[in-house]
Amino acid sequence: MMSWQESGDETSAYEIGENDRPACICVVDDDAAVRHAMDNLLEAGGYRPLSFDSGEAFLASPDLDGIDLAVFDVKLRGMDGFALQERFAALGLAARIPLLFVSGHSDAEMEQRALQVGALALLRKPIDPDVLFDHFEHALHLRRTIA
Amino acid sequence: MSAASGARRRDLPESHLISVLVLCRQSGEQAEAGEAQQAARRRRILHHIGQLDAASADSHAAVADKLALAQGALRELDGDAVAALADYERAAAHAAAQGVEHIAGIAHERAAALATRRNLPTTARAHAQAACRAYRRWGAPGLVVRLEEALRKAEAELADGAALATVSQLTAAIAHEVNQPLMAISTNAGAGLRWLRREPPRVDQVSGLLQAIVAQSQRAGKIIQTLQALGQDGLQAGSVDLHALIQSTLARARPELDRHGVALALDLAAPHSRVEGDAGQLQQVLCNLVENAIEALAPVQGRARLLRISTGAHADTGGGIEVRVEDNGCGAGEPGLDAMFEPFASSKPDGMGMGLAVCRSIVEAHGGTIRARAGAPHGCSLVFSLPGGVP
Repeated sequence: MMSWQESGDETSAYEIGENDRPACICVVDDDAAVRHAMDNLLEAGGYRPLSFDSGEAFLASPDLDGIDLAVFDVKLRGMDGFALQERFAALGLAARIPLLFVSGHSDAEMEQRALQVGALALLRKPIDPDVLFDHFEHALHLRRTIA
Repeated sequence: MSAASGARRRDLPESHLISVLVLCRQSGEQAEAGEAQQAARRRRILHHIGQLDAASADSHAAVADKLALAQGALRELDGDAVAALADYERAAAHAAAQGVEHIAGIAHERAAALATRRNLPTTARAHAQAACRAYRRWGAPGLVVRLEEALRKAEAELADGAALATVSQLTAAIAHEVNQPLMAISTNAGAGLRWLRREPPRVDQVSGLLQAIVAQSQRAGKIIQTLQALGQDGLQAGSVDLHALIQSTLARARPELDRHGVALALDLAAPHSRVEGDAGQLQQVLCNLVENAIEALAPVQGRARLLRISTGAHADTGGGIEVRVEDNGCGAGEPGLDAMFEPFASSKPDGMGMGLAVCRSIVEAHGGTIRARAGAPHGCSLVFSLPGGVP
């Protein structure tokens, strides 16, 4: 189930990831080294990175409207990735922003849970950057399709 | 027993306590029970604790021990071992003050079992002994014998159980902690490749990424080193000069100290600095303590960053030596001090929380003790003592 796919509301009316506006990919990860590396990778890949070190910081941000794709680490300090997803859904963000989970330690059960709550996938760290970009492109394509 | 006396009996504080203990045990044993059933049980636990709370408002001295014990059981059920131990200790102290030895015994017995499960052998032993003393005073020598037997058996069983829990906990922690730097390395490399594939190639972007890759490889390596230190069993015993070990540890840490502008004060005043022990492991303790201090000092702004290492004769053990590593950084506050030594207790953004747990296991294996104190007004001091400083 991809809950965000089910509604294409007015908030998705602008062009996403087109030449005039690089897609904004938001990473929530409490590991500073991973966060910096992801920022750099996203920038090198032509995306616009936006990163937060906690779910709390993400939810407090005024910039959530501009996000095209969210990437949550599962094991976060404070609220974990799944708790963050609940709030993300409750705020209506899940309906228009595709979500990927990443985790340094996951099992099949956690991956199932990720799909059940509406994420596109749970990817296990370390993630091959090419594979990661394939997931990004797939997610952004779906996002464009609804918009 | 008449219905009326039965009703009165149910209102006794002790009955509420027993209900809480039984319900907590059922909850713990039937963790897989339906959510509704567990929720109902929890409501009943909270009801009985509420009754105890109300009773303690009328006669605090007589009920405080039972209330604390019940609260401890609930906290233990919730997995908050540190708070539960504090409750049990409070319960035992209230009970002892009132001469209610059996409650003191139960509180110490539960604390001992919990501490054993949480791999806190020193705490566990102290509580088990206190439980035996309380039961003996209560006039239940049979209970003491039973408890001593049970404790011996439990200690052996729990040691196995605790080892298993630790292995699975450790596997998860290793997986997570090693995968973080690997993720950073692979992501940095991916970014570098993409910058180089640009037309024209953005070579300027790449050197920072390569530096990050070097740093993250070191981070992964350090995790492995920590695990190796943890996995070592058996001491390579020999005579170790702690003062020389401190000097060589600081020589290794010098570049790091300089980089963070940390001023070092050294006061090696112990008259006898030799101990029997494993030089490699003791150096690991010193390294971990110095690294922790540097990490606590790095973010400090607006005051000098100070690291003070001093030694002295250990007052309690006569010939022993005490080593103090003090900083004025942003260390743990008073409440976090005990928990610092538990495995996976990291307060640092990229820490695995094994450093101080490793320190404690090494120091205890050498027959010593280690403790933390909050510094005034800033920082933290870690003090360990080892027996038998010899000339």
